Amino acid sequence: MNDLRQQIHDVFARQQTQLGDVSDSSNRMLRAATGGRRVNRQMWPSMAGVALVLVAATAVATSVVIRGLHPRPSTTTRPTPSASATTVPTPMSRALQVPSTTPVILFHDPVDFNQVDGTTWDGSAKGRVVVGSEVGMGFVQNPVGTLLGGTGYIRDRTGALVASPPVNTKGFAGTWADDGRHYCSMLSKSAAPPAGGEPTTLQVTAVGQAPTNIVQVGRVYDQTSVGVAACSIEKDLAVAVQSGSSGNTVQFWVVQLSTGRILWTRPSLGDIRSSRDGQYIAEVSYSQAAPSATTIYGPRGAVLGHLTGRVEAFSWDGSLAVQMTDYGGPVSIVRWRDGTVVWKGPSDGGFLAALPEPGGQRIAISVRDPKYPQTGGFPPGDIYVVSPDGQAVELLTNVMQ
Amino acid sequence: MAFALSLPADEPLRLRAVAGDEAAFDSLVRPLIEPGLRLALSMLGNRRDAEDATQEALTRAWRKLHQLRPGMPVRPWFFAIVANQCRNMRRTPWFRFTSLVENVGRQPAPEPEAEHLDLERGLQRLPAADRGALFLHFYLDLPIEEVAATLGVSPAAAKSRIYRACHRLRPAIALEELG
Repeated sequence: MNDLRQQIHDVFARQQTQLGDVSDSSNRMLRAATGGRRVNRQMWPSMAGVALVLVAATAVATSVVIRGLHPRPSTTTRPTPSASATTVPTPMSRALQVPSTTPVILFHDPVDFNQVDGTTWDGSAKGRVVVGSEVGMGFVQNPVGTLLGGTGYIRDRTGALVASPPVNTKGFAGTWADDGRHYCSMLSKSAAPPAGGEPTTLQVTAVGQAPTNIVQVGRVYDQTSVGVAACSIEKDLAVAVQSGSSGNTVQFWVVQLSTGRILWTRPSLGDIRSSRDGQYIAEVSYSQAAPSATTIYGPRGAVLGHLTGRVEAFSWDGSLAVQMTDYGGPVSIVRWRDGTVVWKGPSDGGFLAALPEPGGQRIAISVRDPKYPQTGGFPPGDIYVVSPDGQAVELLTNVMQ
Repeated sequence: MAFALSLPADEPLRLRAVAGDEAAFDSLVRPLIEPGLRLALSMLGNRRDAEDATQEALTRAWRKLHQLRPGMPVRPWFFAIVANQCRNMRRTPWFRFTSLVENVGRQPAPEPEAEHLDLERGLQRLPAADRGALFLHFYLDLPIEEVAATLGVSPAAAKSRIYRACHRLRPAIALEELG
């Protein structure tokens, strides 16, 4: 045990080396905390190793990984790195040239974190979208990538400010609705809840307009929160999730937006993932005695299916689920109703993140790639766009996350 | 690794801090910032977000200090706030995706020894809560009771969580060995 303890300690210690000296940070944070101010995020220089990542960014849609044949699940293998994969480490300078309504995936420029670039889902177009320190502080795109929200701002793809939401928390304080023009959020009366907690209200906001209160649901305490797992104008639903002090889900509610009526609710001890429209909710449970398992509930709370492992995301129509056997384990895409596996990710690539294609059935998935060892805080990942027939296109490789 | 982890359970200091004495607050929490930052780094994976989470936690601690019951240790209370901030940040949709590439250019961490590779991968595959428990107990050297207080679970549950994580990493390990 002592050996293991020491080994675990050593692994953590190695990971902590990136922290370096924190005395300056301590002073700065203390001043900001007592002064009631927020400290702007520091952007660390990203010069060394930039070429490696720019390679990834410029490799958008250049490599088709494998074309699987339905119904056999395709399995993605790693492509051989291109010999031409060397490039000049400069930010993407060409503006994204696509119609303003074309769905895109937005991401920070590998060279300049304060620049947001975009790529179409098929990788046929890519380019610069917005530049500014504001977006360098982080953003959340709407499903189609026509708007991006951050702390106190919502901008369009030209960079124009279209709304200034109140700043209640760091980052974009809402969950984008599936129409891309509204967002849902939870409001509590005070920024710092009193000792006994206080109720929270689900709101929906049309971008640029005043929020509309929907219903009082959930309660926020000092170390708990209520979030929105799904916000759907199309289906007139939202899913609110109450979390406990350990980050576990305590309760979730499916709410009709037009009436505020709670359609169904359920106490829970698992992690909650929802399809974008709140029609399907995955409850991931885990225990010491058994591996993770997922229960999928339908629009009225009926149990529609059980899956082994964890469901982390759904396709836009909810028919496909991103599944993994364990945290960080290999990822698959399954038709959860019959268990058909349509795609298996690299066997050596742990799941990192997923994003459904708006209005489509494709899913963007980021997985780890052991070819690219982790040298910083985030593991490098490869991003695939997987079609429902199992075809996978690699959009980005070796990008740090 | 030895951090300044002695508990500043100085009630007069706490009362002064609650009354708005910034110097008292400084004395109370300064020793906790570095380990808090390291805890956040272990949960979020990069310094930038770790600093954000720790900053938020400090701000909340300053605002909420009056809610800390007399006699309650500050350390697990503060770490619990840090951990909660980290969990909130991790829940942000597309959090990882919009954090692409931000570590590029950092000084690379030393190459792990070959024998540590499997362990490192194993740790990365653990649920974040289990990895956090290991970090608190094995890296920050917090006793089980404080791990429990930080995670908001009972000491038995904290010990169980640590055991479960160890067992995943080394299936032959026995519960009694946890001490």
